[in-house]
Amino acid sequence: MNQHKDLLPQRLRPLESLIQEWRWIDKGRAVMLDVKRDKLVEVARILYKEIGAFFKTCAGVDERPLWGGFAVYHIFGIDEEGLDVVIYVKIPEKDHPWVPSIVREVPAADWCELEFRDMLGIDPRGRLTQRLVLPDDWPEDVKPLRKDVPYGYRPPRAEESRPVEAGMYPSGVPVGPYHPALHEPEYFELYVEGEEVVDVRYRGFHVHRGIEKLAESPRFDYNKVTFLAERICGICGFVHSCAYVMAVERAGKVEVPERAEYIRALLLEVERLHSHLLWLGVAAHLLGYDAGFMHAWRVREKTMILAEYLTGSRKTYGMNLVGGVRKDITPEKVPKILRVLEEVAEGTKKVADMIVSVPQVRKRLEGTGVLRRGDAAALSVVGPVARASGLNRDIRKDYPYLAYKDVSFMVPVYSEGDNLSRTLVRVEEVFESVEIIKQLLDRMPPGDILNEEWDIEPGKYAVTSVEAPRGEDTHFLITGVGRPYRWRVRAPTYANIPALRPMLRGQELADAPITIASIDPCFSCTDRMLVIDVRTGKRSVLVTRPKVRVVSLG
Amino acid sequence: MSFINLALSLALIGVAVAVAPILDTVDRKLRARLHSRIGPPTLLQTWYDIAKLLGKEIVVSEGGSAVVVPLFMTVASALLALSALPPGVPSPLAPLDLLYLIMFSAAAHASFILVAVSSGNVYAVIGGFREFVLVSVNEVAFVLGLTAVALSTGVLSFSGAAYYGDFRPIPYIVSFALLSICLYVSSARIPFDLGEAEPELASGVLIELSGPLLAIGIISVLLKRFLSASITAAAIALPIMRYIGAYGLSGFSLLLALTITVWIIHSLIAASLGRSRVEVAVKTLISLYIPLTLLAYTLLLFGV
Amino acid sequence: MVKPILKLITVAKEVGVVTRKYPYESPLLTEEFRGKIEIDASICWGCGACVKACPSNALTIRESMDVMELVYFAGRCIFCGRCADVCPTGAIRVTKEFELATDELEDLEQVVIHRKVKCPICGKHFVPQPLEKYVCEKCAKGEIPTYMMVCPECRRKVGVKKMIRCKGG
Repeated sequence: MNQHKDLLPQRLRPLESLIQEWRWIDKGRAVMLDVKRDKLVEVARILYKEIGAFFKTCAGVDERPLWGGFAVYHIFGIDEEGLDVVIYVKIPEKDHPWVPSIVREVPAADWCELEFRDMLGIDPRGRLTQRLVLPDDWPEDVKPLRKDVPYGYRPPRAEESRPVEAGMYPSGVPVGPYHPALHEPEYFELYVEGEEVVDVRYRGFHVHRGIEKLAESPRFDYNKVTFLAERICGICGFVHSCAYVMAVERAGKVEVPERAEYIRALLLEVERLHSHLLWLGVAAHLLGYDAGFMHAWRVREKTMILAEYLTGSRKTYGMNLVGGVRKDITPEKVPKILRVLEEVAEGTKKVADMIVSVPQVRKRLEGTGVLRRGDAAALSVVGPVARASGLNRDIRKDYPYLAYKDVSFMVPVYSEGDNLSRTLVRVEEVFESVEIIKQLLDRMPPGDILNEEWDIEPGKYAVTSVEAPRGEDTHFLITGVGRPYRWRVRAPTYANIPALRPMLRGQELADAPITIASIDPCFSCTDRMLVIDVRTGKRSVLVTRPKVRVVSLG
Repeated sequence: MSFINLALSLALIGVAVAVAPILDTVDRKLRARLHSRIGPPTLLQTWYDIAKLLGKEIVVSEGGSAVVVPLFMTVASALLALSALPPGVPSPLAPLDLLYLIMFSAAAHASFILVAVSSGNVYAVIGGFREFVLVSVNEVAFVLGLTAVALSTGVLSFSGAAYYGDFRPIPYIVSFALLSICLYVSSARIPFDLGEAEPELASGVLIELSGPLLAIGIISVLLKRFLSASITAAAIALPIMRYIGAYGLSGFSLLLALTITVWIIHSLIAASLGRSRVEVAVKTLISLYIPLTLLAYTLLLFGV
Repeated sequence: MVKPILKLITVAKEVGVVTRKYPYESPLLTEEFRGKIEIDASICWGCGACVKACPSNALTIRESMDVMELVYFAGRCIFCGRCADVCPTGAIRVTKEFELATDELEDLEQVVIHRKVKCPICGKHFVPQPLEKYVCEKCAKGEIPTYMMVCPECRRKVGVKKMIRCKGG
């Protein structure tokens, strides 16, 4: 950021007449623009379409205890400048708050608008709305993220279940919702004609755990939330805990020892190694090539043991605290790390070579699940999905954090946008990560690893983005007293799932699982598919399990 | 003579039922080794699995009770088809044994598809549909290939082929190539396990089966595999028997040894490949079958 | 078709077998692994620092009339070892034990029982005995303040009375 501190950054000049006020937040990494409700759509349009910012997420906040109303924060990022732009919209109504919807200008805002509608009752006006996050039987008048709803609130149990309406097609035979190959409940309805997928509908959030609400509860404090954050994901836990602690540190101006920043970056790369190898294995499994699956996971096991050696947990858990990390990388550990890295690089090379040499695997990756560059940009997709569709986006380069400014690495970009490109992006990133770790080890400065002397002022903001293995993970934080006032998490898959629709349309049904998997959807959470045959015209709606007859053999 | 023949036919059926699960464990062991894993602890593992399934209660999903009949039909047809195989003694069925073999192996495939369709599960129906497409292409080639093998030995009979007629090596090699591909495809192994396709269809044809029914489902799959391997083995055994004169029991042992070898080769191929897609598989197969068939019959016709 | 078979065989041959017959062989653990914790009851003061630091409520305090129990429930533990970090006496040790599956819920629980000090004035029980002992030892010898052994409530009352007396007198 080479702009003058008192002037609105050059790129944002076109907005000058539309905004009320603006200020630097987050140690000068982000700009917050106060925008009146009636100007919001125009500001969003100019930012997204004319300035070319990417949409990151939006967050609704119940600010009634602070000044008597609600607020919505729309968070954009200008990659070229490494600058986050937060649009702050105040909503004066205490009851029935509303904001104009920006979804027509910014399609990527679709889900998060529905989310603040569900969670805070802030109505995005001018668009179709439906429940997204809350279950169908959740009482209409309880908006869980409002401050007057206690964190332990449990709604009464629903007496009867309602059938889910089955999309826009008039007929179908629903199957599911189980799928033993991939785990965690997400739910894709694939509308098929024969074996061709003609449309897709996604229904998710079955395992919404209310983590954002929990973090605001008196059960938690700044340090404890770190451990909650890493449990958002079973694979990129460290990414979430890093994004969270960085947000607290930046908002609260906490000094972090440089050595700790190096260790964090190193572990983020260990996690990327692990995640990409895991993905490679599962992709091979989905294509019926179990030898590739097993060998990819054999190599991955080395990274897990490395993670355990460095953090004490196979999943890099329990490392971060606000102000630094808990475990040092001592010089004795370095030779072993380097040895494992060599083995991983060599193993990956052989396994990846083996996997793509299998004719069926190649045939089913090449040209399937194509996401064109235009669609990718319109949906603000992130990570390897964006990079495989020709968008050169990598948070490590665009918004350098931790120690990434001190290392050099390449960002693989492919333009085909098919499943093969996404595979190759990930395989190449494995080698880049190995190089990054080597450089980090080489340049790691001596010193402390944890600063425990800190005090955090309430009412400060931070937006942090961390390049998770599956894309950009964004956390938005407003500090409170002793714990976050509001902590908003946008995991990468959240941004990538909407891209599945253009990817899957016109696909063979057989390639749907690999295409769904190709965005690496927080992986355990891939698919529950619902297959509806448009031609047969038979229909019976939903999820009741077929009645079973049990005959005992005595 | 017909007594020996009957005894050997029954013996082959018995051996198939006993050995197919053991060969499956060999398959798993080999696959594990290629995956750098230890794999199942004993050669009886698949038998233990089947025994465990047989001890569970029978659960039939509503509208799916019709699966039982085709399930047993699959097993029965596969066994009947096997009974036509033992070479070394002219079958009492000869020269109809070829027809008999074709009929019952087709019946085994057809009733397996029926299992899928009658289970009333959409995944199973999709699996059954894929299986149907594949089997329709494959069975035609199988009939042509089997006939060509028999013809290249001069007689339209499989078990009798070891005795009569003159053996013509060049057409034999071509038609054996055709036949062995067909038989690999019908063993429902990767890349052609489209009806099962576990990560895609959650287990396809067998999805609604559990407990003892699943055990029978597994046995039927294994018997179909055994059938494929032993027909391939029989086709290899024919010329060998002719030259070394291995008849009777020694012919039977040769058939078994070759069946095991073919099974292992099949597992090796399956472990090294990925799953195909139904339309790709069909296209690939047709482009292989047509030239091979044309070549085999041209060679036969022109008496090479 | 031959190429992938050969490639696979080469890789498999190079690598050998990497899995173990795990329950019969030792698991692959590094020296840094964190498993469940063990509390040395003889050193624990019952200060509750670990309970405050525990992110997952695996450590809780259960109080009854004259007894304070520090309860560790491994079923909720996330094995972060924060408790061991903050324990002032080093009573908490992080072990490498992770094979915790059991069909008895009690197997997952460790309870450290502390008797509480009885207030000589009102007879109510308050702080755990070892904590009180530590505080006494910390104070200079012979200078144990008069009201130190009294519960906070009585201390306040007596203090207020004393103050009134001072003012009044």
